[in-house]
Amino acid sequence: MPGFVHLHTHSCYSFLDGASSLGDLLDAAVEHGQDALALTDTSGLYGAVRFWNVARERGVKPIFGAELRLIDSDPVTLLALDRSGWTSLCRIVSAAQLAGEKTKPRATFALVADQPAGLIALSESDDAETLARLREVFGDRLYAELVDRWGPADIDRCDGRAELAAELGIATVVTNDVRYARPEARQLHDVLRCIDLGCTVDEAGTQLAANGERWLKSEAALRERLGHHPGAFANARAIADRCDLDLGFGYQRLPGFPVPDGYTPFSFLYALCQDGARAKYGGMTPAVSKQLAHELDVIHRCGLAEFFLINWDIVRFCNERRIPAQGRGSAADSIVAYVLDITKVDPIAHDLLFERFLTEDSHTMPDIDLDIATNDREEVIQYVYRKYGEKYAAMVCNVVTYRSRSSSREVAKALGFRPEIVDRLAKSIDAPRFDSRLPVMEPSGGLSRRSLDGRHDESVNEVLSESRPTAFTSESHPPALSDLLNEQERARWPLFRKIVEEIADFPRHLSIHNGGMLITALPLVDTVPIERATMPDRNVVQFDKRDIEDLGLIKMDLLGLRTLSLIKDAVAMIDELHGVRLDLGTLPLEDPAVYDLICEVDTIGVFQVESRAQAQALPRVRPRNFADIIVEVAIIRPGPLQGNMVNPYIRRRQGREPVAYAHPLLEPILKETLGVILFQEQILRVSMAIAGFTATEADKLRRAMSRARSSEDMEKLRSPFVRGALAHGVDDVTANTIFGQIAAFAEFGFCKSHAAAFALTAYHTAHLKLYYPSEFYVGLFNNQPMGFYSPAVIAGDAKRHGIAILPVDVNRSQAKAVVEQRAATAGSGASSSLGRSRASETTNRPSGPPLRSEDAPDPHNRASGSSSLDEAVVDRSVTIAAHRACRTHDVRLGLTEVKGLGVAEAEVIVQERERGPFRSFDDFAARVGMKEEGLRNLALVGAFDALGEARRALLWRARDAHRASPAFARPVLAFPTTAAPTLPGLSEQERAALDYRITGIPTGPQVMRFYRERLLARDVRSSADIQRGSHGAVVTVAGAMVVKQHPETAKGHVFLSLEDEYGLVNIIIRPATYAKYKPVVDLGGAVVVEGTLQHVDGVVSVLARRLDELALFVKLASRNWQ
Amino acid sequence: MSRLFADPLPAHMEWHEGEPGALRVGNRRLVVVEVVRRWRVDGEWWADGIAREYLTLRTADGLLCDIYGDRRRGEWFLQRVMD
Repeated sequence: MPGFVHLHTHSCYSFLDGASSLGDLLDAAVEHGQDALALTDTSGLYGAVRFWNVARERGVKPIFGAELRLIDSDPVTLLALDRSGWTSLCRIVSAAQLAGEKTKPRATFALVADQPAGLIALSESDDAETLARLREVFGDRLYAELVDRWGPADIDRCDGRAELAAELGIATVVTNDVRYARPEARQLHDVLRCIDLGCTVDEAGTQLAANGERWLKSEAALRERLGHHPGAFANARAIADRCDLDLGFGYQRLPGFPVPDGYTPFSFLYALCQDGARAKYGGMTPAVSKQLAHELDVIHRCGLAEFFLINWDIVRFCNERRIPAQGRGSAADSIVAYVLDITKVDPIAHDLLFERFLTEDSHTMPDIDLDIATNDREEVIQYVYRKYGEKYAAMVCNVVTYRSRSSSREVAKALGFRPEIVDRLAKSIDAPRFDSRLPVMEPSGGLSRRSLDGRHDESVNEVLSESRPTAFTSESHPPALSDLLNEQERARWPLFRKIVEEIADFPRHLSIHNGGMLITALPLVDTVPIERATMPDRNVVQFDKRDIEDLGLIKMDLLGLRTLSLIKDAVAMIDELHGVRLDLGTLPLEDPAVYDLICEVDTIGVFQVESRAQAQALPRVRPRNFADIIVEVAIIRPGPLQGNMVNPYIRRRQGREPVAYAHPLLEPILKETLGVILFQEQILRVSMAIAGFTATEADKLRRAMSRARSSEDMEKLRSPFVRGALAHGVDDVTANTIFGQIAAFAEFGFCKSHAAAFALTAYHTAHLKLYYPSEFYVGLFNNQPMGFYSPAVIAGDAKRHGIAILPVDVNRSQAKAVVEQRAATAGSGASSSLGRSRASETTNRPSGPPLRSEDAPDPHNRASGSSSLDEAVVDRSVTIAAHRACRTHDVRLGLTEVKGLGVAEAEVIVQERERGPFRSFDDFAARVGMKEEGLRNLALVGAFDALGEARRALLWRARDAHRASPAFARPVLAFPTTAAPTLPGLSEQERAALDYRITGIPTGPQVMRFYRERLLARDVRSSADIQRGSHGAVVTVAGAMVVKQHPETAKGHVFLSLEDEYGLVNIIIRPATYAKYKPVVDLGGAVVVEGTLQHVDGVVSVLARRLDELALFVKLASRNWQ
Repeated sequence: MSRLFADPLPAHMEWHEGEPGALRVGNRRLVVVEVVRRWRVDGEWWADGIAREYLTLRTADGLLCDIYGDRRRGEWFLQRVMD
């Protein structure tokens, strides 16, 4: 007979007050034979949709509720009886959240009393008046909660409360106010509470529970002490039976879309498609007409006309405002999306498959992700708000979960580890996810890393003590973490490890999803709970993207893509500077020079094909047309790499392996990818051709395969496929082989339409870099952070294309970077710089002219860009050098690049300059109100160099000068600045250090240039030398670690991109070598790497066998990618 | 009147059919007539840790005693006496 049910349960979605996942809680309920469970997280319904799913999977009836902490009364727990109760819950939670601040909701008794419909209330109050007031609101739906936390007076309190309830005519119910599924999770709960309270376990005192009794107990365990209240147990069952709520909201899917008189949504969509098709194709061809009719038919049957109209309308708005916007993902498979201008890739020309996007009996809403230029995205979001109303539209949340670094930091802090250890710990962790990479404490006290199969590798300590590298410089090797732990930290280490592992993937807080917008047919708060976002006046739904999909509600993905802002900015500059109105939408995609550029791997900054992995693949694949770029975008991803799809394709591409098909029927499908399955669309086509599946069946198979978690799951899918194949005359062995091929791919595959959409943007950015490199670099600088490389690396790339990076100048810089015309005067800094560059280019081994010791102001302030050391400012490229539209444009850095200067300050400077150029440092200080830090930093990066004032002297005067500004509050102290004593000028090295520190962008030589002579003396090669080396040679190379990658797919290999003044070098570090030298890599900065040169298919890398730290005079940050 | 022992006194529990029968503290033997309440204190798991089962006992001579069993050491202690 069904018995007791827990009606008051907190999960990890109570954020730092619940220590178990939904799955663990449900498993515990199942173990105790409990057939229902209520989820009552604090002030939110964050876990509700997942709970709904997971509970149904486990055959447990889910009950939905929340605990509200009232500011004017005792807490109350509310449970939804039915849909009206859900609406009440959403309204109450939303109102409480909106009345307070983010993470500090403000619920009142009145607020709860205002929305009692469909709700059951549980109260642990001992106050007669409170209980009486609640009874007035909830009537017989109020229950007094009997909770035994095993405190000294708990049973007495429960007995007293039961007596009081009886007097007031209120029924009782037993709960355990559960905080975790099992007793073991109590330690985790204590740590979470400490994280929330901002204290350590030693400091927490009575703020932590006195014992660990708040777990999900069996009925028998609860009856042991509360058995004398049998009615309170029976009531728990009765309440569970009364609650009956299903969260499927599919019935109210779409908000209406206003259409002109005389049209239905579908007829309007039809008319738009006809017009769009004529515009895109210049008339109806039979193929276009047929595909359009087919898609419109499916859309009509699925009732999705309004969904397409909503998306069309958003893109129409973007086009009107000249905001770059384009659909990505499987939507690009649809001709309807294309003719409505939602997507930009022609699905007919690129042979895309609509069924990957939408099939007739698909039960989920199709997904259209729109990429929008990041700088304009907010305008689009505001449009959607205006169009549908704030009551019907809100942003979807993103649940930020604990990753290994964040959890290590917070857990270590809560366990009382010292701040320096907390920092060191967090920094030493590579992986964002929890796995065996966490350092393990060895009995000897050393730290080791556990490999994936659970074996313990050699202790890092032992390894280091054996082979502590002889430092290249005098810097000592960093001490191992274990040497730094004190006795207490050492003793708590096992606890730290255990809790960090337990906390894995726990939700930490909500953030706004990057673009997901929910639009509802009913008012939002009647359907979903909302709360405040960090952004002012912005609300966010407590459900994430997946939850919204599961509920069957409609969401638009308005994603910000910085590359589109880059494109928009560059196109505007090209128009302004060259008078060329580029319409990228109509750009032919067959320009051989674009493919030359890509094959040369001159792709820093080019969308999707700039990464290290791409740089390795491009010379092998050598893309020569747009279809090749689509493949390139699709294959260099974790999935295909892991699925071992890439090498067979590359081998066939290079002609090293014959192109073969398992069955002749596959040839038309796989011809474009040389017989290798590379796109999800191909799975559908193969299933249709070989097994005779319908499109819907084929897409179902693809989905099922991608979700299959075990070989058994996969085997269940095999027999229908093989049966179908046999019926089509395919023999058993071949059918099984083909099934094996698609199964291997399904888990990782990428849809061609998405790759095509991205390939188009890749092509556009390559076009910009090729013909208008200066505008392209300016666009890159002004839309950071984006892409794979830091601004410092982009600056190096620009210089290698003959584009100087000019320092910030108070009379020339705008708020952001701009293109600057090079002065034509012979003998100017610019031309002399180029002259020197060309001269040294031939030697390629700079002899190293003496460092300049004085600031050398020049009228154009090209001082840094034309340094005596900086022979790199020359176009070393082949394709760009031959095709660029302009050779006299440089990049002038913007004022906002300077640390301490915001957009507002930069705009003040630019505005003030309109009244006349600044004549001197004092003139600037007097006219522009600026804090001392801003003034100092401007002076230090050379913003006043052109005014003939030495930087060090200005630093002396900055303190006085800022007092002369109108912003200084005490004008009485505003004396003229005092003259500085004679100070030595800045050396080139000092100027470089200031650039790295203040803007992060070197305007002069790249940092390695300053070490070149010493490196040459030790036979350390440059990246340029390496290109000419022979395969298998042992070489030593040095550079700044600009990118560090530790991909999960690389079986423990780590990849470094080292930058020097000539370019990048790729370093491969094998797992054993990495284990040995990890502390050196962790330090960041620069390294000297000894290894074997690998020259394969035009790809050059160094397989490291030894790494030594190279201590730099500047601090550099690397970009770490997993 | 209540007396709290800063250093709880070691005690020996005599059991009768699974229930406390008498408590022996030093030379004194206190016959238990009722277990008034039970509670648990578990804490400081990050250090040495505490795991105690507390009982409030009423004795035949009218005293109320708070005693605890240290679950790790399997020993009993008298912590407070109220008359």
